[in-house]
Parts: sequence; C-alpha cells; structure tokens
Amino acid sequence: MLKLTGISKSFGEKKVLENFSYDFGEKGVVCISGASGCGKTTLLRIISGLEKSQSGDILLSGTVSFMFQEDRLLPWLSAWENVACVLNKKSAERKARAFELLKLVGLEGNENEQIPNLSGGMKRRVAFARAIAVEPDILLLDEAFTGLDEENRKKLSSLVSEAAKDHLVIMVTHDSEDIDSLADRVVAL
Amino acid sequence: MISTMLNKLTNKIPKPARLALALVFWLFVWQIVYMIIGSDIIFASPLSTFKRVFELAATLEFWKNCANSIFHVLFGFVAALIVSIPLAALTARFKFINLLFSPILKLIKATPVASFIVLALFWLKNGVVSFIAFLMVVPLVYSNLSEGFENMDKGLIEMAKVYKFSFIKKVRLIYIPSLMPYFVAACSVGLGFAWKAGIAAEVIALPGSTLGLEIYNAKIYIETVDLFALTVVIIVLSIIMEKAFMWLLKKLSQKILRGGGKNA
Repeated sequence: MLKLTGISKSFGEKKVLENFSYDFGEKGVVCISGASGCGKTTLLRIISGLEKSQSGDILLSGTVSFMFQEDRLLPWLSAWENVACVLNKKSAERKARAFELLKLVGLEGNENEQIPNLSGGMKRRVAFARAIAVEPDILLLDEAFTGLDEENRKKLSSLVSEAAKDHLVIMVTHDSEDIDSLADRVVAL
Repeated sequence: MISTMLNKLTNKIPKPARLALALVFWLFVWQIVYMIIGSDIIFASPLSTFKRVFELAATLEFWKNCANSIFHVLFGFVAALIVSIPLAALTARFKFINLLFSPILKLIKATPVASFIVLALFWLKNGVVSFIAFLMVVPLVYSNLSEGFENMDKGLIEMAKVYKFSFIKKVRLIYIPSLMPYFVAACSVGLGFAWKAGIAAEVIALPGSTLGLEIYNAKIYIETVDLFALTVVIIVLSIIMEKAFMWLLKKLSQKILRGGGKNA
C-alpha cells in the first residue's frame, strides 16, 4: 500500500514536485507520464527512499524494488549472479531461482554471460529479472522497456501485468502504447 | 609498409618468446658495451656478473642477506597497506581527513628519500629500512585508492541500498571490485618503490646482514662485478615479489567476489 500526501521537492531553485498527493493503492499498474524533467524519476526515488522530500508524508507498507533508468548491473558478475545477489536464499536455491527468472525474460542460455558481453536490451532484461526477483510489494519501473525489441517488450509487459494482479507496479514511461496496454491508472505530472 | 610488416611479424611471435628475444637483445648490447669499455672494474660483463650471481647463491650468507632484505621491504610494504587502506576509506567518508593528510602526503612525495633515511637514522634504533619502504608506499596507495573511491559508480551504491545489501555484501560485491584496479596499480608501482627505497636505506643505514650492506661493501672495495650481480639479484627478487603479490591479489579478489567458492 502506498499513499503520498503533500510531497514537495526542489533542487536548488528548481521546484520539481510541489504538493504532490496520490493514493496509489495496493495493486495494479500506475503509469506516471509527463515531460522530461517534470519529476517522474524523482518521485520514484522518493518512494524508494533514495531521495528525501522536503515536505509531505509517505505512507508505505511492504517491500520496494526499483528498476532504474540505467541498468546498474555489477559488471564483474554474470547475468545469473546479478539476479541471485539480491536474493536472501541458500546458494543452490538462489542459482535455481535466478535461472528461472532469466528464462522468464527470455535469457535462457545466457545465464553465465558476463554483463559487458550482453546487448543493451539483454541488460535491461537482466535488470528486470533482478527487480522482480525479490518479489516486491511495490515494483518501481523507470523506463523499463527502453531498448527492447517488440517480442521482448511484449514478454516483459505480460510479466508486469502478471505482477500487478497482486502487487503495485509504478511505471514511469514516455510511451503512449505502454500506457494504453498496461495502465490501470495514469498520473500525469 | 615496413612498419606494418614488422608489427605483423612481432604479433606472430608468442609473448614469452618476445620477452626472451628482448632479453637476448639487451644482453647482447650489454656485452658490446663491455667489450668497448674493456674493464670489469668499470663495467662488468654479463658473463662475469651471472658467474658471480651463481657463486653468491652457493653461500648461506647470501640467502641470509636476501631473507633479511625481503623481510625489511615486505614489512614496510604490508604496514603501508594496513595504514593507507583504512585511511583512504575514511577520507572517502569524511572529506576533512583528506584536508588534514593531503599536505603531509604531498610533502612525503616531494622529499628526497635520502633525507628521510638520515632522519630515520636519528629517530629510530631499528626498522629504518621498513620505515622508509612504508613512507614510500603510503602516499601512493592512499592517493590511488582515494581516486578509486572518488570515481566509484554511485549508481551501484544506490542499487545496493534499494536491494538492502548488508555492509559485508556491499564491500564484497561493489567496493572491492571497483577499487581493485586502483589497488593493483598502486601495489605494482609501490612494491618497486619499496625495493628501491629499501635498498637505498640499507646502503646508508647498514642494518646488519642485508643486500644493501653487500652493495656498500662492493662500493668500498670497488667490486663492480659484485655490484652488478647484487643489482641483478635485487631486480629478480623485486619482479618475483611483484608477480607473487599480484597472483595472490587476483586469487583473493576472485575468492571474495564469489563468496569463497559459492556464488554472488
């Protein structure tokens, strides 16, 4: 469950968010859209706790996972190790779960690839697999589908829809197609 | 045209063979220079130098000297790592520490090593050589690691925060791999510095049976062949120590990254 009340954030003179309030609820896909620099990413950063708001209240219950705009993968680890490293399970279970998730995002056979050897789209999918690996109550996606081909876009979209049945997915996107096909609710900033 | 052909030819030769070829070439140059000068007292020949190395290696005293010199240099080097790693980590956290230490470290870098050796002789009863090796390595490792901390990918630190990595996990999966290239470069140069400064300190301070004392004796008795032989020994020891340390570091970082043979 997530409810924001009166959130404001400025960077120096520039006001990015001003008195923002929204009840995100407990489940479903909420798409956040708006022009560049309007505070979409800042909002996700505030929800994830990476940024502090200057005023307002955040009512949040449950675990949060964040797929960043950049991949932020550990380049010295393989694809499966990047997914496994966020899991708090026994070694063998982590590996099995990581392989399972990579198969879900269409990376079967690439589990042992080192990150620098993967294409941009493949890296996005590893980052997505890592984000859903922790089975979060709130999944934050920042331009998650950028750089993906049509087939993988559909694959990830269906995973987002699946996750949104029981969890809350907040998705920042510029793409009107993503909004049309996925959004249960839209927040325009 | 000729350069392209030569480059292609060079690339075709395996790396060890290339190294051996270069070595043979310089041995040849050494021999030619010796033949031009024509005196073992001024410039020792490769043959007499290596003959002397083998003669020295047959004595127990030589190995004792080597062991003492290795111990002095290694002790100073390891002590420098123990001090400079936490210092660089603290600097990354608290900027004022850099403000405090930066002038001192710049001063150490700029001061002639001979001045420190003489000062250390005034100040210390024992451990002059290790102290000098320590002084040479600390600024190097500290500045390299500080640069590593400065250039660290902040995005990965945020990722670790979101996924609630423990402190140990952060160190193991983010800090150590990010800092390793800076640390390896510092250690590679630092070990060479420690050897150079350490042997210079031994020659001036004469702390018992060491390779530095033998170099001092070679100077007193104008034993140029001994000087050349001891220099070859020091170069070989320095290279062996660097290679061994780098190998150890590589194995250790792999073990840390893979969580002691498990996985991430």
